[in-house]
Amino acid sequence: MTAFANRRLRVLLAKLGMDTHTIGVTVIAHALRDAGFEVIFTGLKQTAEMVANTAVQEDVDVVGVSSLSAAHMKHLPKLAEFLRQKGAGDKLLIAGGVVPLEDIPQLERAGVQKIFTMGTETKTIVDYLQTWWAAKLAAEQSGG
Amino acid sequence: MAIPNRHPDNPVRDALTPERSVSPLTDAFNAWQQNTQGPEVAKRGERQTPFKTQALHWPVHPLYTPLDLEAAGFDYQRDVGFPGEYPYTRSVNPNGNRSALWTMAQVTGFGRGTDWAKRARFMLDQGLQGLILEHDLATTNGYDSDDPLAEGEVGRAGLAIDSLEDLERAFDLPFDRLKYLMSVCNAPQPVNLAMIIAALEAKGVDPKQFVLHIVNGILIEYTCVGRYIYPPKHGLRIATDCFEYMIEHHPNWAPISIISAQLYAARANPVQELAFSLSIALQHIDALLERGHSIDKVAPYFHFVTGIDMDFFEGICKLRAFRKIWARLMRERYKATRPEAMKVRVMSSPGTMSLTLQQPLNNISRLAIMATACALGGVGETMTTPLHDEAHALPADEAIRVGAAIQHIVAHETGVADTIDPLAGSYYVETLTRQIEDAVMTEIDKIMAMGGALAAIERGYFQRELAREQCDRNRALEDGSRKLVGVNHLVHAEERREIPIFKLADEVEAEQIERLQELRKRRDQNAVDVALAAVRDAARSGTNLVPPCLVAVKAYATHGEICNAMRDVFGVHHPDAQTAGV
Amino acid sequence: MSQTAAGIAAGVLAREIGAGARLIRWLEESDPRGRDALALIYPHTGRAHLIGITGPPGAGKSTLTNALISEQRKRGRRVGVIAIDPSSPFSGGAVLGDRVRMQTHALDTDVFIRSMGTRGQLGGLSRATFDAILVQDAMGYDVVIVETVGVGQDELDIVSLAHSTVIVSVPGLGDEVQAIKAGLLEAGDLFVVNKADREGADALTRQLELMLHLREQTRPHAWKPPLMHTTALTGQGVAALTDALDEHLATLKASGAFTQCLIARNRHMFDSLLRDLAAQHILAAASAQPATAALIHAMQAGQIDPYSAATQLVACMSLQFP
Ligand SMILES: Nc1nc2c(ncn2[C@@H]2O[C@H](COP(=O)(O)OP(=O)(O)OP(=O)(O)O)[C@@H](O)[C@H]2O)c(=O)[nH]1
Ligand SMILES: [Mg+2]
Repeated sequence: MTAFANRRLRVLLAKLGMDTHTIGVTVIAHALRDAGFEVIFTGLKQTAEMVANTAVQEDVDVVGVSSLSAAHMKHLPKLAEFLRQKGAGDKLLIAGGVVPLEDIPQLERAGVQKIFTMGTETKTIVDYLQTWWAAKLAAEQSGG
Repeated sequence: MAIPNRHPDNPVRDALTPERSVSPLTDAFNAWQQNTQGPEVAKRGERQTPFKTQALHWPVHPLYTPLDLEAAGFDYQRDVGFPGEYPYTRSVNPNGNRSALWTMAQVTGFGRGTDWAKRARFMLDQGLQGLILEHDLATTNGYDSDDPLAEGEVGRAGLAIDSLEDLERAFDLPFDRLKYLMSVCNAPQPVNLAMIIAALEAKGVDPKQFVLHIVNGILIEYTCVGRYIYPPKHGLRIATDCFEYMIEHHPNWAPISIISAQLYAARANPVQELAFSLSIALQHIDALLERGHSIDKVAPYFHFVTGIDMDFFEGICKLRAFRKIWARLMRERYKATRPEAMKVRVMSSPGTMSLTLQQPLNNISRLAIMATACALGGVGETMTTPLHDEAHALPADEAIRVGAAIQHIVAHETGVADTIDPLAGSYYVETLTRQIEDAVMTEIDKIMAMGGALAAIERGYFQRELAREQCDRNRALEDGSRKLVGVNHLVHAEERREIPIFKLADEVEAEQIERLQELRKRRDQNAVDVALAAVRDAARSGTNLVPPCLVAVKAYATHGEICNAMRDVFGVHHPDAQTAGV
Repeated sequence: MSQTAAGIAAGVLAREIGAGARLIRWLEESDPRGRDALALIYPHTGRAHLIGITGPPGAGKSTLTNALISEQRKRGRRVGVIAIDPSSPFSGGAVLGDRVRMQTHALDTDVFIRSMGTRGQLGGLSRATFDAILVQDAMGYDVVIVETVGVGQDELDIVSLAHSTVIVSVPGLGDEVQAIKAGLLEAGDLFVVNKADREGADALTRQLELMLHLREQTRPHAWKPPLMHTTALTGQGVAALTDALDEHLATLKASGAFTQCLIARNRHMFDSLLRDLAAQHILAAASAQPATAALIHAMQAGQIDPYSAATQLVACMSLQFP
């Protein structure tokens, strides 16, 4: 039995604010589940603080935000800040949806670690998470 | 699978087995298959095994003949009949598009709230008589601009309406030229309707000289898009209140549209689109009948918005089946007698689902094909065309011109609109129309067995079905089994293109909030409290919500406050993963 | 946040949700630090009122849990929730959506909701759930609610080993009453007809009354299970349900059954762990045993049947089986 036998990546998928488009988050949720991840969905109309609290309670590894409205520049930095405040700054914060390229540097500075723009294949996202997860597990193991 | 429960996978081939060979045509068909087509297939194979339709993935046979119609029991008089006559399969219009073409409309693309009035004026100056009233997300979802959830959204996708004052400001328009206004603000409908009525009154507009069209088909929102507030059954009650208020006070206005195009944009296949949107319409109708209205009175008010994507033949057959099924439902299920009740009113439009961010000029070809299919399917009263560049540009003048030209090219250069329902009688088209009709009726029966559209929505059935289609379509695009030029086929390196987002200065939001908070200080709070209590009472007692909302908006109760008064009574809708489809 | 067993245990006892969540994760994933931390917090457990809620998919369990949280909070109690949803048998992944209905409590620091996938491990689910309950118990949550669909032995164990087992039925599902498995009917302490606003609630009530009557006749219980009606969506009937839960709790405490219940849970854990440990040891010993390869080879060659092969191997390892 390897040390990771029971480890399973947990991802929180969140929708912030008034953005009620669910096709993207639906497709991603199913793809992540099919990749063997445990997905927790917050539902719609969440505030950044609700999502941060949920991430702590669920002890997820990844917080993924699907954003199809213009409010991402408000919500995402706020979420990153709340996560740090609540001692959950170690979680991987990623976002996907309609995010203009020009916004990406600012979001990255705010603590969003990866942004998948419109049209990204689910496979790309799954691969990214799998790689990240493998690296995290390896680091944990070498760290003792 | 939602698909065709009763749909015969291969009705014709069964009839063609040798022992059942009954006609010379059958023998000839078998001989063709064996001696002529067979060797070719044996030698060269086929491009696909099996061939399937674009949206429904039903098998497509190599050849359709009179045998297919025979097997389906096709009867000309019963199945298609004549234009303007029951069952209206060929057209609801006695002379199709020969007397007049459909109304050609144009989607104008994104709007920005603060600019709405300016843009509206501009469009009226261009000779347009109708406008769409767009609200921002906070308003559509029933929140005031100072709600924490509204942050970043105020005034962005449309107008921010917190109080009657905001709408009065926006209505600084030449109403002598504005004949038609469409509002898509569904969930807070009684508040929205009351605001518009009060603002029109304040402007001195004669409601008889003007048509207000509210979309109001709220149940669709619970299946996709998601702009709802209250639990579905209360959403339905609200929509019914508004419908009833309008037909009593403003019978020339348009109290409902079922935007089934939202379903197909959410990846519903044609059978799901028709079955879901029609059963939703039936649910709205039942609610009206329960209040004592007659089918002949309410049915003619029902209006649908649909369209055709790249599922060319299925789209055409969907439009044909749509007319027939509506007529059948009205006559068989509700015993309607007025022809107006049986003629479905449809606006159609090419879809946006297959438009690509990559190689945007390709979208012009797609739109032309889809618009042709709309025309071949009989369009309806109006056609709109989306913009080929909609995915990433502001409505550029050129995109708007091309969009308009597409309809003119189809209408004037191809002749497809010159004879009524030109594809009728095609062995394939009639077979497919019939299969779609049967499958839709079966699906509607299934929904009725669940207790109707409301029950189906409450238990998440529509949402789950759509989620499955969404995941399937995505998978098919990713694994290449569905081809989309520029996305997974004939891809070439090109510059990355983007969807622009309106960036609004934070001051706009701050100003709106300031105005709102200032209003709260200066208004007569006692009058507001009394008015809000009356809204709560009406919500509880079941009397029509529009009159107390009218009083409340005139007392300058805010949009969010009135919505909250109803939240106090109705609660809010929180879909879980199941009922959200996730 | 310290990542040592002692650090996390201290965090749990200081009621830090982050620490509690991390410990639950460790326990769920058999991280050795989990056991150590559990040993440290164990003395502080045994106080929480454990409520198990089960019923068919879509019965309104999550909505009811949400309403119960509100009511318990009104009564000044801190609430922990473990919401169990099925994992995909194909990928082992899951979409856990129960908490969507409970997000109204997301900002309440006295409510701690944890979603859990069934993950398909034999016996593992009930153990992971009981572990999570211990953690929430140690964190001083007065009430811990476990929601599960109640399919499979593991889930049945979870609800039946709760202090108060709530069985939720709803009108309109067809065979809902028949769907209450014999085991669950026996285990139920409170029966709830949810969606009482729906048609068919009366008929369902009559059926349930009959079943409970029969149950009483077959085997009388000290506690007569009440049959309650709720409309979870609006919260109607939830105060009464909470009253009944409180009364049940008082009865349990008076009779000593409250502690009995914890003992039974511990025994279940002990047995289950023992089975697992035994299996692990035997499998490890078997793979170190040279005879194993030969026996498998012989079995593949059709020279020996699997029963004999397994028995011979065990004999080689000088273990005794009856
Ligand atoms: N009419 C009515 N609907 C309710 C009531 N309680 C729950 N619902 C609805 O029933 C549906 C399912 O509710 P959930 O709380 O998710 O049910 P569940 O038992 O947790 O479902 P699973 O976790 O998927 O097994 C939702 O649409 C709820 O809104 C009620 O008392 N009355
Ligand atoms: Mg649930």
